[in-house]
Amino acid sequence: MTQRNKNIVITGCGAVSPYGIGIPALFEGLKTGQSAISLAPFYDEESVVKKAGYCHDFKPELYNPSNSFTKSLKRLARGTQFAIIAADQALEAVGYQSEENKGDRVGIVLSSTRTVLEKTEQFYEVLLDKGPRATSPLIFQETVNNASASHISIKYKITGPCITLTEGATSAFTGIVMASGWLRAGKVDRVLLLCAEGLTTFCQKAYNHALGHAPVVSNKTDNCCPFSLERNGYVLGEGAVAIILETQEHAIKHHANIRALIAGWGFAHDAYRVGRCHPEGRGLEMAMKNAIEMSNLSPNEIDWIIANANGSVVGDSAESRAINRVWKNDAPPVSAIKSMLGETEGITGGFAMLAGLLGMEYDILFPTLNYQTIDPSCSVDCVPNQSRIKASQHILLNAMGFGGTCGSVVMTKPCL
Amino acid sequence: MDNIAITGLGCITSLGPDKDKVFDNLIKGKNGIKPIQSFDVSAYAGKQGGEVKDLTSTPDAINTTCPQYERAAWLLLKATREAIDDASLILNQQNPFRIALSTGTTLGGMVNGENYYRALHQNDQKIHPNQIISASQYAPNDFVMSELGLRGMSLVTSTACSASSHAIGYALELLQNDLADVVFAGGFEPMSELTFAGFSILRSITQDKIRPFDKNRTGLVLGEGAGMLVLERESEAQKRGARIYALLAGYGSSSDAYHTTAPHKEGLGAARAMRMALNEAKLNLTQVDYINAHGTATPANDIAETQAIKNVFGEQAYRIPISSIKSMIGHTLGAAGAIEAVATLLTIHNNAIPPTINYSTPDLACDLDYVPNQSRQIKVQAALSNSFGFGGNNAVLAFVKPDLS
Repeated sequence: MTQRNKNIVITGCGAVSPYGIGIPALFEGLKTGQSAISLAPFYDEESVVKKAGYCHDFKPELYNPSNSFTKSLKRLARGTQFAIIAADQALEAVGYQSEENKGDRVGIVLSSTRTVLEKTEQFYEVLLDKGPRATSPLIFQETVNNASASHISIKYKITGPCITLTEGATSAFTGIVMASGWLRAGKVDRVLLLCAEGLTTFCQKAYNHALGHAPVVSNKTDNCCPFSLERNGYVLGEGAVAIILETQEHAIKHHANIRALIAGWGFAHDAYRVGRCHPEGRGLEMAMKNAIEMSNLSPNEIDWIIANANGSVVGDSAESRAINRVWKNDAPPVSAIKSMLGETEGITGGFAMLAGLLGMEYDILFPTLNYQTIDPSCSVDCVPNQSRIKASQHILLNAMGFGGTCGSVVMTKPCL
Repeated sequence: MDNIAITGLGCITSLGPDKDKVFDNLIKGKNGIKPIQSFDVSAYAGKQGGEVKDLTSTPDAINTTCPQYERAAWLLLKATREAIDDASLILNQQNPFRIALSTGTTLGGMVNGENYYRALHQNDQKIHPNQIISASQYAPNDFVMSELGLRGMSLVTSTACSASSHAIGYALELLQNDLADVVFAGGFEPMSELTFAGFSILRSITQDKIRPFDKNRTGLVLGEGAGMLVLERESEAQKRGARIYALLAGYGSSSDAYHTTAPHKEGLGAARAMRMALNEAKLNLTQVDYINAHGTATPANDIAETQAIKNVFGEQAYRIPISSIKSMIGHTLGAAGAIEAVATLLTIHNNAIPPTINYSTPDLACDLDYVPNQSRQIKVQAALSNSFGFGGNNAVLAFVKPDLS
């Protein structure tokens, strides 16, 4: 059936990261192996974890100084502000004009897990301190998970289908599945795939309390060192990624700049224990196999893997073991970009896709930072500490949620 | 493209702990709305809601089944188990990697999140880490996947009132593109002070009864519960001799791009979503026998929804019976799409339409047939179910009996 064979491609993108606003800042940071993890302002003295991938000095006026723009972002959650700025970049990259009234041909998929917690906390604090009548309706409406999508649809007059996925790290990838369905069925011509998260004091306290019982939170070294023997947990990250997806046919017809092809995807659940990943990475193994199979490739055609690895003691070895089973101990280089950006949950897939397409465009593999001592349970070539020059044709991206969801996507370099 | 069939249903609401009890009470026009017990409502103007019976803040039922989890996870597990049984599906005869769980919710595990936040606020040192782990949007799904040994995709949609309709629509995608063989699609929503306070301060909650489409309607009441559908490719369902309630023939989705809470006045986005669902289902306007309305009884929604239906159906709008079961169980937010889908499917299955209760005074601006107060026995072979969420997020599902040509 011809519709099912329509390849899905990436044509536009935008980002907000701790490196700054925009793709060039992100690329520069990743390429030079600069850590975006630093002391975060909201961590207090008692906090065991003091670092995060925090967007320091973020101000909407750095992107667009006009009063109307900054005013429209004022009341919104941090993550929502990031999302809007990323979306603006991506829509501009593909020349989308809201005045042309083509908004019904654009769909939105939002991946977001904790963006609205900031507003939930604000609302709830007043409820507890002052009672129901003192609460704010304007804040309540921002506590709905799809708030970012809602604001963007209003701002850019986008009236096509809209969905918000909140299952964690794999949401961006399951979002691609939904987007491809709409695109192939001709329901829309473009999908704006958005990923956004924001960091708040509530997050910090919550993850702090999960400490010791969820063995994934950093409590010894406060460096995030995926795959390294010294690793002892993750640090949180924030930001936003916006990606425009189209069918290859549409992109060619409209002379769009094709950044990458999405060749395939795969998903599986550990079904192990909530809050724990399976120590052998059994879910991720299936996800990777399914993604490679759907792409009509074999494992040895994958040139680079962008890992989910975030410094988690169990998670990183689970991923390594799964990779070594699939590649029979002959895996390509595996980069843990979370060593630079932090654990970004709903943006996992977004940052992975951006890093992947930039790596393929510039023949570069980004590094895994803070790598010190080999851990035999993580025996992969993790591109330690420095970028490497290498051309990639096909790459695999991994995402693992905290509760056992696993997803993988294969991206292919576009032919010129 | 394969037809997608619904082979099992599960449901728990204020009107009953299982789908047959719930539907039976819906047809009888029973009122599930009572004074709220799960938190202190003395400071609130409207004090009623549709809580699930025997499920107070620390129910024994939860403690025995899943001690560290809370209301939401338990509601989801209950409805899922019922649906699996109803579908006569033997889990260990299925390939677990080919079973997906797709749910819609607003709160996820937030009731535990609220308890956690309260404890923080009171500097309570006795905070159990499981409270945080179980508080996320996705924890209830992960819990059910682990309890039932499901290894396929797990998806959570959070678009407020339309969430579980999208979650069900997603099943079409998974089944038609061979990403799963069986999809458990539905939604769940616990009663919580967070949402109650929010809707109260938005002045959406009525102090009167919930009266969808009535001239004197003043708003909604909240409800809790879970709904679950088992979906498979029709050919597979037939092969294993499963009973087919109906086909999920269409799924329409659109955005108003209008306002963060109020619907578009003329319901243009809603109309578009209905058209999409009808087109995909290849239904003529004359073939639709019933519309299960969003019908929240807010002044804004009911008129916008009425306009949208007229926009799509023209003169046919006056023929089609429309009812809102929110009149009986309240607005179950993220679970509404799924619970109302269950009700719509049972409507088709039983050829019996549940009423819109509390209907006394017709509104000239809402002049369609809302099946006031009494259920109706008529043949229903094709129906739409509407869910219109905050921020103008619209989802419409079209269900059709398999033999409808």
